[in-house]
Amino acid sequence: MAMDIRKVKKLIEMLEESGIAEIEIHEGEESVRVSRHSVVGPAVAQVPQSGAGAITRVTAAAGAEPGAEPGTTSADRIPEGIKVKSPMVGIFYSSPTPGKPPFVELGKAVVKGDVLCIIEAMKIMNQVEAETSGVIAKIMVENGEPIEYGQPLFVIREGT
Amino acid sequence: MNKKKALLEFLADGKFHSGTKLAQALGVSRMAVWKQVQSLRGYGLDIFSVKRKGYRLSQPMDLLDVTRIRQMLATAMQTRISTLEVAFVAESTNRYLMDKLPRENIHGHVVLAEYQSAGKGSKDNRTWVSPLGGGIYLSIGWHFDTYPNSFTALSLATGVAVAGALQQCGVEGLGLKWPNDIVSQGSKLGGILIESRGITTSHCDIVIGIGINVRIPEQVHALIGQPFTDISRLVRTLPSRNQLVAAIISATIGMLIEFDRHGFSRFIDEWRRLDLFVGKEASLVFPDRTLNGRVLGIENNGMLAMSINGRKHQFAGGELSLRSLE
Repeated sequence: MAMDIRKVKKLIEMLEESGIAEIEIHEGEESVRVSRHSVVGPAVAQVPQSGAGAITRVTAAAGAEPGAEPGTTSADRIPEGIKVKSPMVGIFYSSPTPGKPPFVELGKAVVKGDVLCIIEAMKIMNQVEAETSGVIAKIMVENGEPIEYGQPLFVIREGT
Repeated sequence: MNKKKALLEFLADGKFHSGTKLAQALGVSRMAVWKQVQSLRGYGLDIFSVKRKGYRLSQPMDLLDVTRIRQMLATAMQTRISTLEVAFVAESTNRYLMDKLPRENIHGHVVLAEYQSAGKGSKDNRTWVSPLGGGIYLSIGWHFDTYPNSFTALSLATGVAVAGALQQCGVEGLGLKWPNDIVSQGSKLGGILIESRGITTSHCDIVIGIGINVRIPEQVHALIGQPFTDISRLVRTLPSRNQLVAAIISATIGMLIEFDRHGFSRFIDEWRRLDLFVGKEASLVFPDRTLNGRVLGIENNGMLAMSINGRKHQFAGGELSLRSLE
């Protein structure tokens, strides 16, 4: 295969950073597809979208989109800090119940163990706690968004 | 609250008790007895009052009893329980345990209620209708040192455990509707809601809430917004709630220990045996849309697989229902 192994490695890193389930890149005749999920059967990762309930094929054809060059986009804009990732697939809820204020907001200080959000799937409602004390430096998902296992949800800049 | 419970302990035998004698026994006025009876009626109890005879429950009732439950627990599970308590009335047994987090250790803490004023159905604020003594309202707290693999499948494994416990008590004709509704003849018998909180990279605490209809009095039937059934309609001799509770606690804690070690793999075959929807045409309902397709079954991670317009899709949410093809 003509594709550089370093490129594949970079691809895997990007995938882990992004929370995208699967990336497929075409270069001329060659193509490579990297998926984060080891589900049995076809490696599709389809989840109901938000309260919205649509199904999304969580795939990104990175090469197809101009300007989506590796390493120059979203990854660079993520501030330094601890990334809080989702322990499960599900829907992201920013507040305890609809209409209530969110658990946390950008720039807000949190203490280790504070609840940041709820992820819900299959009759499990899971409150995600801050794994460190600090300031919410980035919120990477929106209320009602479908979340993959391991997807980064927040960045916490450490310190009080 | 103790007065209500004390009154109910007298009435539980299903025989007549005169207002005067009840008043003496409880150390209150006859008017106060009448008021307590009214309030028990408000909890969904069917209490007759007949002049010169007194008060009587329409049916005898077996109240929950911690000592009896403990005696009937599987021996191996006795030591796994740190606290076993019955709250006469709770807002919600899940809420009761969740409110203890993160400060208190809830590992092995089991809570039951005779009545829930705000039993939890699910995220969209549905309530679990919980008439006094008419069902089992039970929550179990547990701690995992690390998030178990395929954590969401814990929901399905709990369904397997609870269905197994009920079968062991002689309840037949049970099946599961994804992810974990206990169903008999198309009607819901029980539901499970798991709440948890934790740090993704380390531990998590979970609260498993289990609601089972045992004998739902007629006067609350209208409050339940879906077809339902109860154990009294599925068995010839109704097991005591204490026996049912002991079986459910034993099975659920046994499942938790297994799940922590081996994940969902030990439960998947049994889930598939109990699957009522596989191969059927069904609708999957989301707040703003409905998807129709054929149910393919569950994936190894517990997600629902459906064929929609000839393509396979996996789901982690939505409310499943059979589609009538008229």
